[in-house]
Amino acid sequence: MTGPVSLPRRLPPQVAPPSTTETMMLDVMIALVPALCMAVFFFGVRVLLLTAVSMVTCVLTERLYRRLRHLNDTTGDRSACVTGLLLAMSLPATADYWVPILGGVFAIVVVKQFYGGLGKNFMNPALGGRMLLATFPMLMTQWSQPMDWLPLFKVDAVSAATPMSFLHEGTLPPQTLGQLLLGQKGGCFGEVSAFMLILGGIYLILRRVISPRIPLSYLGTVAVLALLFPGEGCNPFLWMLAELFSGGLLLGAFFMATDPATSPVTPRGQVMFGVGCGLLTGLLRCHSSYPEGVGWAILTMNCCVWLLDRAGLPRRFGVSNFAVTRALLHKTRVSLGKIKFVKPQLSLLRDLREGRMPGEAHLDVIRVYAKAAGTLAAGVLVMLGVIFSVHRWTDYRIVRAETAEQQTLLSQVMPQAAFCSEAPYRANGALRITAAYSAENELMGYCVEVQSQGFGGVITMEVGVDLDGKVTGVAVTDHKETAGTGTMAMTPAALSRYIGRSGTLRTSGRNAVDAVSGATATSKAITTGVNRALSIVANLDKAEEIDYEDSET
Amino acid sequence: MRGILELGGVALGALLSENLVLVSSMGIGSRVRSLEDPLDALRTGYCLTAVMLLGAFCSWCLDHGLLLRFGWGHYRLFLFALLIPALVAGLRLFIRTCLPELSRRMDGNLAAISTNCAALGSALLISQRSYGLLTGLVFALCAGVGVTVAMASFASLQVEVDLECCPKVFRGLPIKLITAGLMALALVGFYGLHLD
Repeated sequence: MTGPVSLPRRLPPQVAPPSTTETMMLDVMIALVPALCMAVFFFGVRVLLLTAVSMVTCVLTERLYRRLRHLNDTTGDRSACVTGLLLAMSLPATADYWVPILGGVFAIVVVKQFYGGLGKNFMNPALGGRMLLATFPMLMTQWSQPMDWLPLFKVDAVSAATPMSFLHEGTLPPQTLGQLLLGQKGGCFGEVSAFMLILGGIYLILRRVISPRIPLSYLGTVAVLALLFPGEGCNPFLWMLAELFSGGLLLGAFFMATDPATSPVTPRGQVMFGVGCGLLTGLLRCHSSYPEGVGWAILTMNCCVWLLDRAGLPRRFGVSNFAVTRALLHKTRVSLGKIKFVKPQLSLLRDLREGRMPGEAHLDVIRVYAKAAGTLAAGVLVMLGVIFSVHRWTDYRIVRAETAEQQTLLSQVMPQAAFCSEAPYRANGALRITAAYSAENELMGYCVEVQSQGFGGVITMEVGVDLDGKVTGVAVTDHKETAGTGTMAMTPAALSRYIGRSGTLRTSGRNAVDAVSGATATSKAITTGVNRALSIVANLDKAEEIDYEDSET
Repeated sequence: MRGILELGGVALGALLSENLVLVSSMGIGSRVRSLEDPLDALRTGYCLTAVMLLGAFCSWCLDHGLLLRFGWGHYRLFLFALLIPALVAGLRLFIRTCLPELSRRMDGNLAAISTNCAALGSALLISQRSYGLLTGLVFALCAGVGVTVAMASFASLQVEVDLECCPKVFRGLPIKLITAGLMALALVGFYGLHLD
């Protein structure tokens, strides 16, 4: 690190002040002020207090860390202020005050100072802190309505839908374009006002603090993806604008992806970085469990900066792009050309052909090989024997345990049935269909094992459906949901709400099993699975008719 | 169409959301040098991808041709654990005799991955999830590419980032693990990635 550049007190009017870290950081803060003002207008003074807490935490942490490690104090370069500001602006306005403190300490100590401070970190500190917070359940899922001024303390837990959650569902958000642009929508408080963020970005580009390559390639990629794959039945152009103006895209593209320490330095590397961020963002927004993917995308690309810089072929002075590419291709070709195929000469055949008898020395060689092969074979045989005997020994117990397990499952999904057996039916989407019988050997209904996509992965569940097309019970057999939040939708009480229902179930509105608060994605997945099981049973090709009222169509 | 989507889902999952190195913690057991030198990491990654593809194909054939047909599923773990190192040994022998120059460059990497968890685990995962042959091959390929990129970026971070700046207690292995943890944090968002 170089020391601060000493400036003469007054510069002649034709000389521009030199660009230092301090001036760059000040410019970034100036560029963020309009968006912060809009946030204050929409969410109240609480936003300012959150920002102040975050900035003070970052600066104090940095100062304390440097002091404790006997290093020079670097808080004067204002980078910690910017980190705090960006971290605060990517929080929901309802966040508690400990949230920016935790995020700020993590960002400054682990992400930034452990690697040596400003310019040496490989990951954007503000984003690292924010994404750590996003892994906490329930923290980043509570959004307040705009124009609904929040009190300074004791904020009630509210949950308003953000434009991102509509886009995640595949529908256009209800806000008008003007509302999206100005920021009258739910979301992280620094991210709502798209117009002010664009203004700030243009300011930074005009002041040459950031180069336009990363933001333009990032936003361009997201726009192209949105145009190519709009939501079903939506105007692609409106869809593209909604994707661009909502969520953290603009804040990420202008202020986080362009962090000079964590983005490539070669021009082509920068473009690839932007395109990569855009592709990952598009993928995450459509296909992941979280509605927003900007932060994850930028962090992932942060890790690949070195590779992108190398792939971006740094230009050398006086050598054209074409020559560099040609030289690289030539080098690769020469290097690959050295690898030549040599025809193998099988030594056994050659020896026979030459009519030589293998001598005593050859026998020694063979003996060594034979010994090794014999040991290996003996080991393999012993292992196979052990596995065989253990398998024989436990065979019946395994089958018995499986039967008992199936019986327990049956008592959960269809308590009135006595036993079940494999049904001779196959259906698309069903892993297994078993027919359940009463003690008098009467057919009671069917148990269908189905899968659906939950928050963390595939949820496998067994659904019992009786002959009237009503659910008799639901049991989740396998899942990857978060313990404590996603599993709230799998408690016996939550699952028992499905009993007796029929027809197409929804998570809200008519014929609804309401989603469990905090476990919306898991509830939806279970409802989807139950619907699938109901329709499978209704469409089984068999003698009896089972009622199924498809109220979807 | 549905098949293509499923293939795409498997590919993306293998590449990102269950990245063998960063998320499933497999495939870290290669030599130390390939975690420090990006070029060596790339070479190890290529070798690993090749071995995983070969292993996926052979283990699928073994699984469906022999184990499932005769109900010998309980031998699967043991036979796969023999099969993959045998494949690596065979591959090394072939390259040594037929492509000596390639062997000079790659032999160390190939030797280091002969008992790599990623190679062993991908074969087992393919059989446990009962993927078809094509899906299995796509899974192996994408998982290999994911491992390559993850190892190369981890190694490049060691070059790019100064790991000696942290407090003394964190120097060496701890800071490397923290770095890997931060990289894995970036992949948390891909949890539950699905195409449908």
